[in-house]
Amino acid sequence: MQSKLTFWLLTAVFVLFILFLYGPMIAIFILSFQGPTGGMTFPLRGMSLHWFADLFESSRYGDLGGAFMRSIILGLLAMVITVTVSFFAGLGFRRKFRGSGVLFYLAIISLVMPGVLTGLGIGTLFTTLGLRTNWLISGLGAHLTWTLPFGLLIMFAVLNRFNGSWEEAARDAGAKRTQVLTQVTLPILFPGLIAVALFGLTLSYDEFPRSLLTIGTKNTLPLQVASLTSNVTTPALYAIGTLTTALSLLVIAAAFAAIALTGRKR
Amino acid sequence: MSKVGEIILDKVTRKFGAVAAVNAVDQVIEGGSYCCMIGPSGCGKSTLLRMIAGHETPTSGRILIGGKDVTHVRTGERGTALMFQNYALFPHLSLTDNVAFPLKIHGLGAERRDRAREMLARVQLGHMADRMPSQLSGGQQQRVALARALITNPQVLLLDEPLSALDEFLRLRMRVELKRLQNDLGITFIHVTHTQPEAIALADKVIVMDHGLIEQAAHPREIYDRPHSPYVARFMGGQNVVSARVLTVGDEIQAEGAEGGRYAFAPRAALRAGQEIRFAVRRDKIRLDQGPAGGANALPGKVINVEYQGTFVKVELVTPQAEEFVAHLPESDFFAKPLHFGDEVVARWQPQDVCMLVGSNNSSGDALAH
Repeated sequence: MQSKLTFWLLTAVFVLFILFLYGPMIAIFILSFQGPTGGMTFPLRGMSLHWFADLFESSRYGDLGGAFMRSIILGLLAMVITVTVSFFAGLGFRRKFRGSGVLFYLAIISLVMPGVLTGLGIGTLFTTLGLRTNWLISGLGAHLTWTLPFGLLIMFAVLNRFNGSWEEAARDAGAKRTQVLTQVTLPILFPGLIAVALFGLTLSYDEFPRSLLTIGTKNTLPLQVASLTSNVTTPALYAIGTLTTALSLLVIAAAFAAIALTGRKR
Repeated sequence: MSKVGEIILDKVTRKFGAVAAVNAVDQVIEGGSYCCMIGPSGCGKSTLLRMIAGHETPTSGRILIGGKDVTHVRTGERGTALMFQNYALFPHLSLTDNVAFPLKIHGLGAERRDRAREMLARVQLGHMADRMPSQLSGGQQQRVALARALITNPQVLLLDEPLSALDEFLRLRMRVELKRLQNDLGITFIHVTHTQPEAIALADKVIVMDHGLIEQAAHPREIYDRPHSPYVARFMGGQNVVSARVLTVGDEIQAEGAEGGRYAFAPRAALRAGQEIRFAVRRDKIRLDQGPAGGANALPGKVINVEYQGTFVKVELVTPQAEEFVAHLPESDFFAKPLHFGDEVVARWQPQDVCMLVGSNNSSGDALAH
């Protein structure tokens, strides 16, 4: 009796949790297909792609396309840098060199810092140095303070399951350093690097607090959307949400495909 | 024997900080022989193996393989191949590609996969050539590791505890296969182990190590029958170690144990009166009787354990000597006059069965005894 009651209680909690997690998202998906005369809340007044078209046609959303492109470029740059640096840093940290502990905590500490403060710091630094903040320079730097420590942490988890004797076996077979790296280390760690890449891309793509004071005059997508929420009151906002979510799902699918293609059946 | 596969260690030392893991080791390992290095963990045997393979560089000293100084030659170019303890098969490559890997590194084209398949067939895994390592059992993984090590036709095959990850049944079977393979190939095998029966069964030469030093290096029979030091006697097993003090030296050495026992044996080493000595007597050379104590080479004791072992019976005694004392009695002798827990007995042996332990290493050697 007792266990049956517990079962249903826990099930109810879990269902509520799932609703809380996905309910708002689903509502936004549905509402983004609102008819031309519909508003930002239910009920739906017909179904249409009106608001998606409006995004591309109307000028009242500002430079949405530009913001999107900047976010993608920033995300890709952050991704490439994060993967490269995390990979080699992770390999380096396998050796317990002098000061490795301090260096690790220095790298991780920016995860704990409130993002707005990090952004404020970078912005102030640029102003003090007489430099103008710019999305590709100070913006990228701010994003890296967020994506790099994450990448490094994931790399540590990935390397935990990496057996150093694989590399020794390769050397024993006569492989030189670059051959060990390209034929053994890199292929074995590849799925982990995809995970680091995914995190680098998505964390940067939807970064807000660190971008706020470092991005300069041209907005990234999250900042643009945030500014739209205060003056746009149409379901076009939801259409943006649906589009970016679809893009995210596509990226994840591509990542899984990459792992499946190269990882084979380990 | 030609010089091919001969290994000469010349004052090889490897220090980690102030600790010498391997300390000025001199040794010649004949080409084409099967050599086992044995000792408790931390004795330096694995470090020595890794230096021969080139994964570690000696702090000082030289290593020669086949007459060539390879001390600073790169791993993989010194005619050695190492089989790793955990096999270290590449998880992202099929068995064929794993075995072909060394050939690929050496720049071979498509033919490498054919040769890899041949080698896999040789270790009876030809039918699994396209599987991934994770789909194999431990014993099969080991064969793949063996195939990968042998594909480059090394002069010397180095095996780091190759059988320790297998269950008892497989271990015995692979032991036979390793020996047969070594016979077929005629190359030098150096096999690191911490299992005494394995070393004795396989090796032409057993190298017993402790604290970075070679304690004794000889044919297994010599090691087992005439251990150099108390440590070797205890570590290799099958022996009882007795402590005594020399009374008189002459045609016969007379000695007295701290417990008052009298021991007599033929002189085999230069001894002087008053000297503290230790000697070993093989467990299977001990006879037990229940008569009165007295006479030379007799040690009274009480039975504390009896184990039937099939071909013999192992009887453990507690004696006035500090160390454990064990007799292996022939099965028929024992059951003609069975002994029981608590029986008072006298252990006796012949003077010619006494082996003087001239080496000074008196450590217990049971760090890994099983």
